[in-house]
Amino acid sequence: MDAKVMLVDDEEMIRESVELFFESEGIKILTAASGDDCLDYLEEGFRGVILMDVMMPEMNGWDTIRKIVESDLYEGNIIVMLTALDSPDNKMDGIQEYVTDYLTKPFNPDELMEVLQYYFSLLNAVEPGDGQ
Amino acid sequence: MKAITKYILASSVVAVLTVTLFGLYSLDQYHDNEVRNEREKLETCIRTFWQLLAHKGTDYRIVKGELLAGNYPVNGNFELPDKIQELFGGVATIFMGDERVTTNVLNVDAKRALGTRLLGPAYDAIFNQGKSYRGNAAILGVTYLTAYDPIRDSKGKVIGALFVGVKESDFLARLHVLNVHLTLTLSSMVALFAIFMVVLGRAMRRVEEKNESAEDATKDAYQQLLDIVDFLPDATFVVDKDKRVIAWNRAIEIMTGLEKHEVLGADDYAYAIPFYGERRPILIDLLGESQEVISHDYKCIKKEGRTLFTEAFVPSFRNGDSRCFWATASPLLDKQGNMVGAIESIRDITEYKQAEEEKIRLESQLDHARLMETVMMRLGHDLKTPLTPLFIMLPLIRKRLTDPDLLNKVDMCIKSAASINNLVDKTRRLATLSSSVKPQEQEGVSLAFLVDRAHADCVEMISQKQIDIQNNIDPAVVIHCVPAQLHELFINLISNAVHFSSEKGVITVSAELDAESVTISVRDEGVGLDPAHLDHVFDEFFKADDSRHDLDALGLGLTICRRIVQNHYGRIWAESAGTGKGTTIRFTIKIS
Amino acid sequence: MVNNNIVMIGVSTGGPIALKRLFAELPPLDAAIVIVLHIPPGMDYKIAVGLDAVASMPVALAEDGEYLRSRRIYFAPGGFHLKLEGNSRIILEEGARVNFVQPSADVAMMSLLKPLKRKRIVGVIMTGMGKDGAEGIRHIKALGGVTIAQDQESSAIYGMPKAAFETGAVDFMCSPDKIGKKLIELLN
Repeated sequence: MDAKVMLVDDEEMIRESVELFFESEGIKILTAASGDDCLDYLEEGFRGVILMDVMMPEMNGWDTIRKIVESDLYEGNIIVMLTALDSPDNKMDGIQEYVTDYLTKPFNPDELMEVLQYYFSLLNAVEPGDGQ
Repeated sequence: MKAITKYILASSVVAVLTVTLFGLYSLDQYHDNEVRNEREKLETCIRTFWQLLAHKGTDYRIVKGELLAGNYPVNGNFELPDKIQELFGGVATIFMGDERVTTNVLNVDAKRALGTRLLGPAYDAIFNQGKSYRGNAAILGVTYLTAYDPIRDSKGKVIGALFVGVKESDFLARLHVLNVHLTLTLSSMVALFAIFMVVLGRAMRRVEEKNESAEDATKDAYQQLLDIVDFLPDATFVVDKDKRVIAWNRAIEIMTGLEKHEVLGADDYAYAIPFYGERRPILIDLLGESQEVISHDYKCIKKEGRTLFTEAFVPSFRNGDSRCFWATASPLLDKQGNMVGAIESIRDITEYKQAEEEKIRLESQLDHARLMETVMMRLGHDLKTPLTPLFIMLPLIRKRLTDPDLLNKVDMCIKSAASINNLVDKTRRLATLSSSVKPQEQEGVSLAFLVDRAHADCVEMISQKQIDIQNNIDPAVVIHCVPAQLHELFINLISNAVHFSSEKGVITVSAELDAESVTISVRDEGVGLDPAHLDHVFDEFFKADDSRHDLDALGLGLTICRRIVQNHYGRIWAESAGTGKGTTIRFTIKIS
Repeated sequence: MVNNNIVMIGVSTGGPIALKRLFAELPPLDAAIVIVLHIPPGMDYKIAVGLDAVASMPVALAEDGEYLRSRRIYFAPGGFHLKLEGNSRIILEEGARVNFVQPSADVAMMSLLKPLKRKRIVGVIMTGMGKDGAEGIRHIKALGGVTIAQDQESSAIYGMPKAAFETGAVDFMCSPDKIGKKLIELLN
């Protein structure tokens, strides 16, 4: 799996436009329409930056993160919430450590790129003393 | 009778005892409360002192034996301690090292106690441990509730101390006065009980004497019954078995305007005339009817036992007003159970009904407001979703364009998308602000400090236009508010003023105090307002100039301001001498 | 006891980018810098390595028993609470979450003691959900330290800075680059 970014959003409009944007930047992206799809991709070995919507039917973003952590699929990923809500509520309690960033829609694509590049560099980091 | 006296005596003792215990308990609670209040006041007092001092300067140092706050000389300068006394009635001192260099504490010959030194546990806390000190301290022989904070220089070294204090004896005196009050109240209650018992004893004796004549008693009882009816608070009348009126009490005289002598003895439904303008059967006349007839013919009448209840609407009562009455009628029975008469009471419930309707109306309004709030929040959320593709696609399209005309057009689209986004944000902000603030969210903050912070947050747009902002507010003015909301209010007002000012303009923020509230004004020298618009600038989506599509202008900013001021039970309005002559926005807020 | 100036930073969601913006332009400071970011174990070193690449001061995961040194950034590892002993020695402790998080900024900040004369403590609260760090800021203020919170505009989530602001103990509120300038002003 060579995609570095996964977008989880139930809105087709968002998935398509974000996909288009990443393609224009030459970055491969996976799109998942639900939390379950996201978990499937992780089972299949996706590792990278996960852009996660909060409000989704059936399983919302927070519950998806809980599932990811419970299923030991977090390691090697960075989770960024991509949401239309200004501020999260206390449903985030207890999984705060796993939420690296919180971007509100509509986001500025240039800023998103700046942030993502930094997260890619973080994911490539090697533990000091490990292989050095 | 002796048993009764004993019983009364016992319950009196219990009552007095209960009241006493409750009184003592309340006093204890009051004492705790007072201590807490005093502590809070003390904290507010010292916080204000810090804010006052910080306004002069935050860089504290000793130069040539003089304590300086920025460039403000502290030694022998009584401005700040006197301000504290004026605001809180407490004492205040600034120490340079352990020496009092400015104070409002007076020594025995009524001169300011300058040059004296700090002693005791406060000295130990400040200078040996570098800590704040709270507690009791003796100042020139008097005990005070006190707060001491260390003053540090830029390197963190303690170079002095700030002190405020409230005389403890004031506090105790208040408690003492209360004690006296309570004792007085309790003793007067005991006295009242005693008098009550004596009177009761005598009354009992009289009743006993009267028992001797049974016949007299019957007559008396009948008279008493009529007396009781006469003084019933509800409009009441009594009829005998021939439906002749035998009692027409004072309340019904007042209600109907019909006096006793006009109706007593009258029959043939005379009692219906004041209500319906004609002789006709009313509730009292249905007492003889069977359950079936009543429940069949009169749906609004309820029967409980032998008593009937109803609510009746009278379309034209007395002055032609429509009124709503509640009525109850009961038969009067002899020992054998034969009906010998009937009694009806009537209550005017028009106001109560109106209040109930008003309440229902308000509740439905509130429901509607809540619904609108949810809809606004939801709509805001849902609008963000279709905005996202616009935010992503438009810049992508822009990158591929070279034609300057098309570039221009796309830029317009980008700007519009940003404006919609901005409006959505403000709409949602307005929706979240729509409930009043709770007292526990409020705290005392220096008004000038709030303005300074908002100023700092708008500094970019202010310096772009080279605008001079003058904060004329006395830093000692402390208001009770939700600081985050007031911060937002000032940011909105200042950025609005900057927006409508021309380059190098001046914006003045001032405050006028009266007994309970402060009126704050934000004045600019900018484009001004048409007098016809003054009342509308706070309306949702109002724009001073319809032809101008300046989406960053007004819009919801001032509506949010009004919401915040209303949340604090204040008022906001705009003043302007006319177009081109600048605008002043004023609002009121309670001072703490 | 060797004692340094200490800058303690509490931060959560939005933290890695905010820290990058704060430290990328910041020269070495005459202070030991302790960062408590809400982070799970396994991800902690990645953030530390990433920050080390952009910061002028060396960044490393804090180790139990280690003594603080100036001009270094100590990053609290995930899965533990970080405390300071005598304002100089790092203690890593297991235990229950505080404010729903581990490491908790409140735990770290509350372990600070009154600094020695001429030494400064600066407490900083940056972007993040909840109220972790607010009590810590109150504590630092009471110790005579300087307190800073990130402003709403630049915060990904204006929760922790707001909670800190509402204690009334915050001295300055600004964006990450201005926090940097303030630190230089206070410490160099």
